[in-house]
Amino acid sequence: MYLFAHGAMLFALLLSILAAGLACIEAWTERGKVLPWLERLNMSSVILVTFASATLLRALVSRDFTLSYVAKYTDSTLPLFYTVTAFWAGQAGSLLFWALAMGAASIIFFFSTTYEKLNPKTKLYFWMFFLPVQAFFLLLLTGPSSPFVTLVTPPVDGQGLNPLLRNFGMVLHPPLLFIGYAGFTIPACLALASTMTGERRLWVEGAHNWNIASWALLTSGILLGGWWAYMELGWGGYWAWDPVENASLIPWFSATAFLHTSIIERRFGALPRTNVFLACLTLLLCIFATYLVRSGVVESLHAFGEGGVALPLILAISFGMIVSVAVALVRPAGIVPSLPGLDSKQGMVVMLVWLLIALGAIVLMGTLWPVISQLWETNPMGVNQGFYNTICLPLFTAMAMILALAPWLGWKGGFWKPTVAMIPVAAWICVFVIGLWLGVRPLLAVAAVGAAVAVIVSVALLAFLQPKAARSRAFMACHGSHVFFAVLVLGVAVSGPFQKTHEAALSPGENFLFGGYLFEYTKLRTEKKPELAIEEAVITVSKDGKRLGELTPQRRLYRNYDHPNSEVSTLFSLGDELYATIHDIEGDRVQPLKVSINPMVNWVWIGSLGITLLPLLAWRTRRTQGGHSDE
Amino acid sequence: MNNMSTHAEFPIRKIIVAMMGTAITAIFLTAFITGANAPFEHPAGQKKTDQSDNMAELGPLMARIKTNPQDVDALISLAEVFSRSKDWQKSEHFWSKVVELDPKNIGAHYHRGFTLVQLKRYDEAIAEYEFVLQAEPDSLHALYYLGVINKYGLEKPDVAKKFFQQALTLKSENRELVMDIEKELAETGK
Repeated sequence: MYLFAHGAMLFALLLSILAAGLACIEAWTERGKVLPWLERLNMSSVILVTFASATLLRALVSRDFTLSYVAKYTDSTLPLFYTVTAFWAGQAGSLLFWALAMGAASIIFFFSTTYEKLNPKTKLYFWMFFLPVQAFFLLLLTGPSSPFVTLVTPPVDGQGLNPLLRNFGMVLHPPLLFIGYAGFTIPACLALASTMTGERRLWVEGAHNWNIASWALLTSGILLGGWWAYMELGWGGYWAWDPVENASLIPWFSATAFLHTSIIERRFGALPRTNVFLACLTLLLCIFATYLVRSGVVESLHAFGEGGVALPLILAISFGMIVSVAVALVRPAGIVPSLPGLDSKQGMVVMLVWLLIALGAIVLMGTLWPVISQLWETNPMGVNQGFYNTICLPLFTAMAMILALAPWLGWKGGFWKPTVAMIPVAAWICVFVIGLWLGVRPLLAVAAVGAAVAVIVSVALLAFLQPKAARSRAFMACHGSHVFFAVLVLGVAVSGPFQKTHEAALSPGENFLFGGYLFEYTKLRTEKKPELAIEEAVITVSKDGKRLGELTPQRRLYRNYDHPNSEVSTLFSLGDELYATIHDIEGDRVQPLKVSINPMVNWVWIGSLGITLLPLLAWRTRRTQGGHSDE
Repeated sequence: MNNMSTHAEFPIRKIIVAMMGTAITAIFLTAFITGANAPFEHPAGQKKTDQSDNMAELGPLMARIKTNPQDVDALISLAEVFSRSKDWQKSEHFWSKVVELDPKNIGAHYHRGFTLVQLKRYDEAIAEYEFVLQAEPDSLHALYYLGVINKYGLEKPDVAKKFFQQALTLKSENRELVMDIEKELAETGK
């Protein structure tokens, strides 16, 4: 069976290579006879990849330990839910999932009205760019990273899924990221194809929904990754600027930039080169994210190490960059409208894009610093969180200020309500001065809170002055998501700098007072399940004599894993969220119990959720396509 | 071309098409080579690997490092985890941090020396073992590794011989290591 599945992937690879080769020959000779064949070959290739994926899923569900991948990531006691998600727990499975998602994206695109409307020549070039990308992933899957390697002497039971991955956030985080990554393949290939044929207008329109959906998926994947780190790793924060975390954030910056510059091309026909470049850059950075995670090029505590895919990935990225830059720069001459000055909405978008690119470049440099500094350091060290926070947080604050001011500028220039436009600025100054006067430090956090308040004030004023527009989907998608960005900025600006942490070893009946809260260790509960043993400390929390609830941090010992795993417990609040973990338990004494008071941390999740969902309101249906909203 | 538009010709169309053709040819040739060599069977299934253990250890240790980057115990544990999984690069990184924070920790110097040997960074490894010898002149292991580095890494059998001989002058109860040193010395002498 697995031989068939492996063979199916090999055959899919051959079909993709054949189709891509045909597309190249047709593009060279400029004949247009094989297009239906390209479409059929792609469809066949996707069906074969689907068969391979179904085979892996079946092997996981039936826990067939003759398959090395199943033996490595599942065991007989793993609940079905996690068994299914083991599909993307390892490198081979996640690459197969990415290939499947990319294939599905190509089929959806094939049946879309955008594809239907494309010139046959553009369709041909689209396949010429898309099929090699698909073939590349199949090459990895049939070569260094096959999920269908069988074991001659299979074990009686598997190793089981890594305890750190047994979390709802980690169940959804990888597939959302991979579907997002795969989704960006369509705009990138469409951008290259349309630029080569000169059919530009349609690609920007056609790529819009793909951008929105892929961006939302990527954002939600990053959000869930942060939430997983917060709930599972137990260090009290959600973003440690770890290389693997950064890997998914870097393409997010370029994708966000592209989301905004594409608006300008759709409305005014400006920034054509920038859009082609950003569309391709986003896809290449998605592949680069895989390179960072899988190659072992930088040290990360949850990187997956070398798996034989590093060299092919870096070669593919380099080649893709050369093709993208060549196509973007050498586009046919044409009249491109010039951009107005910075005192216009277009100018603000360009500034925003520069900030995003700067952020992406800084995070990329910081992540690769241990590699770059090897050139002159014998013992290269990575940059710490302070580096990122010092440089990135002011840039995020500046972004928020742009979002507060931009709505009051016309697309072509000048403030349309100069007096009202000054109110958000005044709000920012007020917050900053009050913070300064109250002695709140760090001032950067005060500035960020001020910028977030300015965005909220700005959008509220806009909604007040334009009540009809405020009820539109476009307004909600654009300004609504900016408000949620402000909420996210508020959460980040407050939860990080003002977090308080305390540790104490406790026996049952002992308590301590911290941050105005009384934490009392009442008892130790134990539970044994087939797959794990749980020790749970019950901590009663009260404030001013009023009982607030219970924290139940756990220490879990999973079957097949000799080392205990800490499970976080939280008491939800929009103000101070209480967060508890235990490092060790001796007898019934916890040593130590670590509690953190995380102010406004849930604003981060609420803001992220809004940012993820609201842009989907800008989804363009057949009815809305062609018209321009007030983006 | 049937049904094709009459847009202006893309200036480097043929170059781009040729590049894509080259890429797909490269993919085909690589598939041909790697596909034929790709393992389809692993010899044996293992009930459990060290790697799975190590992964489970990383989370709590990482949490400790995030909280306190100067937690020497956690850094040592991390270095040991990576040593066990033979990830010498990462292991060396964490041993270096331990040495930086606790320069008098002779064990850390010794282990860093060992990882440097694995990474074939012999000069640095020698410096570490010499540091160990300064603190503990009777360190049989340090002398043994200095000998091994010179014999196999730097291909200086005469220097290696001196270290092995010096090691054998020490009165050690570690019979196994003494026998290894005697064996190495005998081979070096040939």
